[in-house]
Amino acid sequence: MNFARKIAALCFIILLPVSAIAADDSMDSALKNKAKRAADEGIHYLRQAQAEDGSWSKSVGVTALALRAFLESLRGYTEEDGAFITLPVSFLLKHVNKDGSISETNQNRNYNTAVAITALQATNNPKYAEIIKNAQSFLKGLQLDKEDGYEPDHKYYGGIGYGGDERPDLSNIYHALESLKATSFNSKDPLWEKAMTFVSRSQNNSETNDQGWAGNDGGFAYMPGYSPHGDAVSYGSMTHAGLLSLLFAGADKSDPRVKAAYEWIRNNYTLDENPGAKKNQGLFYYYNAFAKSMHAFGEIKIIDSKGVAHNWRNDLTTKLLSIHEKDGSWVNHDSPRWWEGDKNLCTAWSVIALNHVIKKP
Amino acid sequence: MLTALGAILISASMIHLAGEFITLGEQLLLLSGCILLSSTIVLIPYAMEDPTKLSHQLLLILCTGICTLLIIAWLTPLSLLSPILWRITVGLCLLIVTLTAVAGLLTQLTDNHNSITLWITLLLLITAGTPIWLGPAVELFYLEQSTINAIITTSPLSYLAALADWDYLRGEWFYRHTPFGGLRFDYPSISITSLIYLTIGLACHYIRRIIATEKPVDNICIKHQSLSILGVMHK
Repeated sequence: MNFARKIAALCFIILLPVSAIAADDSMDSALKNKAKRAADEGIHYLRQAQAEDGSWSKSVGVTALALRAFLESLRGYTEEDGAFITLPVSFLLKHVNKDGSISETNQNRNYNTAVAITALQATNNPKYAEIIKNAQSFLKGLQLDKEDGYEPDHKYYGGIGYGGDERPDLSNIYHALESLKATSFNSKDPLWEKAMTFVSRSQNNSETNDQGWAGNDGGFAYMPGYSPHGDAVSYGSMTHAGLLSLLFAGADKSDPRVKAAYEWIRNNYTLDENPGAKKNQGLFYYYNAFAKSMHAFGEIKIIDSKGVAHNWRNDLTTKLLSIHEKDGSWVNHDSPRWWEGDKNLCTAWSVIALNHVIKKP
Repeated sequence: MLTALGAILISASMIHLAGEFITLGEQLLLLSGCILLSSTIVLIPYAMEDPTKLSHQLLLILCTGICTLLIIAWLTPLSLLSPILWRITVGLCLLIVTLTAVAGLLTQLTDNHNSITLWITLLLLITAGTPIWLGPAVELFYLEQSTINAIITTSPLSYLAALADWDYLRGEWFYRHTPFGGLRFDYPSISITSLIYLTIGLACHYIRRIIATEKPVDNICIKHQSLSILGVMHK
């Protein structure tokens, strides 16, 4: 008995440091299991909501996001798993246009193409390389520059809009940059530098923003000088989109723009709402961008302006669990803006957010 | 006629000055909207001098078409061979035909001929502004996509924007002032909307003719009163 106790004590002493090394202190383990289960339930919801042709919401954009939710999930779905993966891929391929865009409509061609190639890339199937390459060229062609009559001092310069002649905005360029990064677009292409100019001009940071309207809270507006929530006010979803855009374009943590954006996030830390936005507009967009930007930023805890440390993974999981619908979906009950009345979209965004929560830092 | 052309050219020039700061889509929509409004205010009363005269109607269409081609080709980067330019021109002519037919019917129906141009202009402005004044209701009542599509289709601006191949509700001004940019919707199909306008125009034309055969209109009186509206221009 005494010997057994000694052996047990010895094992404990030996295993303690090993277990300490192996422990993932990035997240509460019980919450992590709940996050995995919630992501599974979201995926289950999406499977039953899928149309016969494999699409969701008859939209290339929503289909691509839902497909990405499957492909990036812990389950590691691939095209070999069956029609629920191959059909949405076929749906995307069916909407490849001659100009390289992937879209069922002339509107939203940037968003649709960007999320479509991110999903196609996530299949890891080399068959789609040519389609992705053409789509990259299409996205690059959308960027406004001198060829389009915009000099470098114009507020539109370097931006990307919905996919035509329209004004550019931070949300569109963030999606374009995310897809170009995901598909390994040439990192030396001038596109990144031009994009950086536009992204910087959307930030309330007069130190690095040459626009007269710029404030100094470090957050991001929707586009230079304008926010749908009043004047050029900074808000959560765009600040995370802006931070991600900066990181995609090559800025690092020492960059003053990144520092300023992180400072805004610290000062406005909350998951109860999309901070700075009216009526919880764009709430799930916020959760999605929040998870991706915090994962990319690489900090386990965020210390807010009051000195309180927040484990963002725990907080986001708790929040998403609290608003999880019984059928496994998520939806924005406060505002249908930005398509957030669509359960398929909100569920896809939430599952992608949870996938980033669960992923190792 | 010269006054009409002058009015169009002056307003178009003003838009062109503003156009230095806007995109091609915005320029096309502003120019075509301006031509439509100018034609309605200036040329429709001329056509209404005698609604039965086909030559007046044809002249009105021809004038609108030529003005559209010249102004847009002059003030925007589009060449005279551009399919977008020709689409907009044909679309504007169709809109003018419809408005003329509606004006003709109203002239036939009402005794107060003086206000026909005013009513037609108001009708045009109210329908064109549908996305602006109905925007808050769309968001407040969580309207269905089909209702949103119907609201968008009501506006002639949507038709003109579709002809210009431009997503105007996500352009900077409309994005700032209406909620549509953040909602899901489809623009009307060009062919279906053209058919709707044509049907409305033909229906109004035939109803006016039916009424006219039952109750002949004092065309001289209409002509006199129309001229009084445009007194300044005809001086």
